[in-house]
Amino acid sequence: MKEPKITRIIVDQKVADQELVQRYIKNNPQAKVVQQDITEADKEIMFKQEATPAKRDILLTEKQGHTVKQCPGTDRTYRCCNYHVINQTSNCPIDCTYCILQFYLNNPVTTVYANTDKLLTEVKDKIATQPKRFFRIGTGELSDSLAFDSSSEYSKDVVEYFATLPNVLLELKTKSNRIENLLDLDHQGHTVISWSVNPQVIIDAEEHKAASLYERLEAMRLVQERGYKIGFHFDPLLFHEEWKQSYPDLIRQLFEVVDPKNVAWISIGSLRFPPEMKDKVLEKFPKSKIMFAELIRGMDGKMRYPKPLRLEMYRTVYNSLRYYGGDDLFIYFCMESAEIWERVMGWSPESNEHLDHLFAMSLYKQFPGLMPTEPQRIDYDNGIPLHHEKADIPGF
Amino acid sequence: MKITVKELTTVGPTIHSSFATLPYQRDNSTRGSLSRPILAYQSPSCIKIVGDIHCFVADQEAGKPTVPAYLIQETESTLELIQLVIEYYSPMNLMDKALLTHAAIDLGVPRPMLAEQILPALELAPREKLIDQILFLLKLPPSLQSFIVDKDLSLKRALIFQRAEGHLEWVERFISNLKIGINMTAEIIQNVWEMSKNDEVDFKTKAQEMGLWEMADTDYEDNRLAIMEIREKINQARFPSLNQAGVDLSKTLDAAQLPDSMKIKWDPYFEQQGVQIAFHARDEEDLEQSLNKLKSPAFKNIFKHI
Repeated sequence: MKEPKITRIIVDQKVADQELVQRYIKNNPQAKVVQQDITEADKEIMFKQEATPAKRDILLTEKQGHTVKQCPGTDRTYRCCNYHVINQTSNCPIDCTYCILQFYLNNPVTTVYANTDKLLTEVKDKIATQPKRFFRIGTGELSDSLAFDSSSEYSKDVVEYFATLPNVLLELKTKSNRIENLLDLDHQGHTVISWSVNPQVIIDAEEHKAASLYERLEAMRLVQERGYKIGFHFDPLLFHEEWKQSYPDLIRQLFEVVDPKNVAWISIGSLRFPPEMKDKVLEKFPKSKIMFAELIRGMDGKMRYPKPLRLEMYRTVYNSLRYYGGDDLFIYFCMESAEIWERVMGWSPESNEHLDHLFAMSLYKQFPGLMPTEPQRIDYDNGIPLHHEKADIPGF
Repeated sequence: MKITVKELTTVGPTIHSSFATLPYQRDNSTRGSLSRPILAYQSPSCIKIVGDIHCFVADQEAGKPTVPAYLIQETESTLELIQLVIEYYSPMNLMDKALLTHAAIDLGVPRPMLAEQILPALELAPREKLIDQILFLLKLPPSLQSFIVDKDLSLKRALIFQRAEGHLEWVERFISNLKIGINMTAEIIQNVWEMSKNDEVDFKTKAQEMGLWEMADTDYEDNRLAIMEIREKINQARFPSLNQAGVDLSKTLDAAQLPDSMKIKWDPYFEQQGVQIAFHARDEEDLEQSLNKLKSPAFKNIFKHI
């Protein structure tokens, strides 16, 4: 995967002395560096610029307010897993056709919150308030967790920080192969490196600047060797002519590289997007065919494949996962109804809190020593979100 | 800027401006003694009438020696002149906007300036790409242009006709023979275009495959039949898994041999789980029979489908 070329680094005076800023400057000698006081009005002007392939600005600024938020998918219409996110970076250079970020963050500026200490201290303080719960926190909601890591080396900060926290796993979610910085870190088993995966035919057509499947597999091999836990996200599953063959093939390839014992979790979800995104995708990616598939408006107002098709796709993927990866894999659906769980897996979580507890139980059993004691359901049923505000993408 | 009200003479040669095609709708019925003055501007060589030429000509033909006009005598720039024209003709319909855009290009306004300063005044997004898109409307056959104006179509909707650019004559026949509305026609075109892109065939081939091409030459007395047929053809092409699910469910229901008094309804998109069951029972025995049918394994099979 090619590193996104940064053309300009805009440094907010307030964070000029932060280490992360110095790293961005050191690792991007080609970029023009501008240091100034940044007001909200300045940001607004920057964000109004039209995105162009040739231009990528990094705005290094200070995060105000809360950092840890609930995953925006978390609601009661569909089963969700009580995941939390840290949005340290907003904007993604990978340009996937189906990605909602391009439409909400359609500007050439990638915002990076450089006051790392504040961000991480907030995580520590918040999870300490519920010590009996085991949390999962990810950085890959508003950006790819590793796409800018050669510039930011942020993984070095977070992985080793989370290694010291007793009741949390960090998830770095990526479509890249930028794992160099991870290899020598002391992670203490508290980091999951997870990959969004799709067959190469989909990567070629829809994940334009992502690492190839081969590159991702090689990266998985390396992080596995260094003792990291691994996650897979079959999300979004995309309908294409040969999907019945290509998804099982993909799963076979994954388990040729990754030992199922190292897999912390696997999610499955299918293409979903707000209706207004369709025209924008057609305009921005005229060669993409994903919007021409059989799509209906789901009960949440988003466009989805019809349930009979979703079920067929899910069953194919789920059965292949069980076939190649075994019965111990922790597999869950992202934003799907209890009915879908039942009809594909034969059971469904009773509630979001129940699913959260099941995650903890699975991790407890699979990775002895990760938690000091067995997670208790009551602690999850009575748990409260680390922060009630949801993350920043409306309706997703 | 300097504007005066002036009586323009109708005698002598008339030189029209780049705006001469404005407005799109030329309704003479409102032209009477209380009609507003036409708009004209002083060019370096002569006075040019902006639009409403038909009104000017009508007055000329009626033998009126002069017509009242707002005369723009001085403007700071072409841009200011255009802004005044927009203001004069507001609110503009889509075709007016296309004509105005064409006039702006004719007057030499650079495309970036047109996008940034004229399009917002026309309530359009300031994007250069939109210039060509709105100009496309001028290529449409007059009948389609009229439909767009009459039905007050949005630009997005109107641009769907671009998808069938090489087949606009077919589109006209389709509307005229099937007596369907412009919105539905746009929907049909969009569906055919999407399917043609998906299957990498041209528009006409896909319309033929879907059984829609030849429909344009069929005269329907009742357009409801045409609409039903079109919907069915589109649904068959676009929703294969939903269609199959519907067929499978219907077969299972047939196998359950429910009495005619029992009606089963389900969400045609299959998102909502389960079915609605309604039945009429004449008496206790009838009720018992109906309940037995519902308890039968043959009927319960439907829940495998929905």
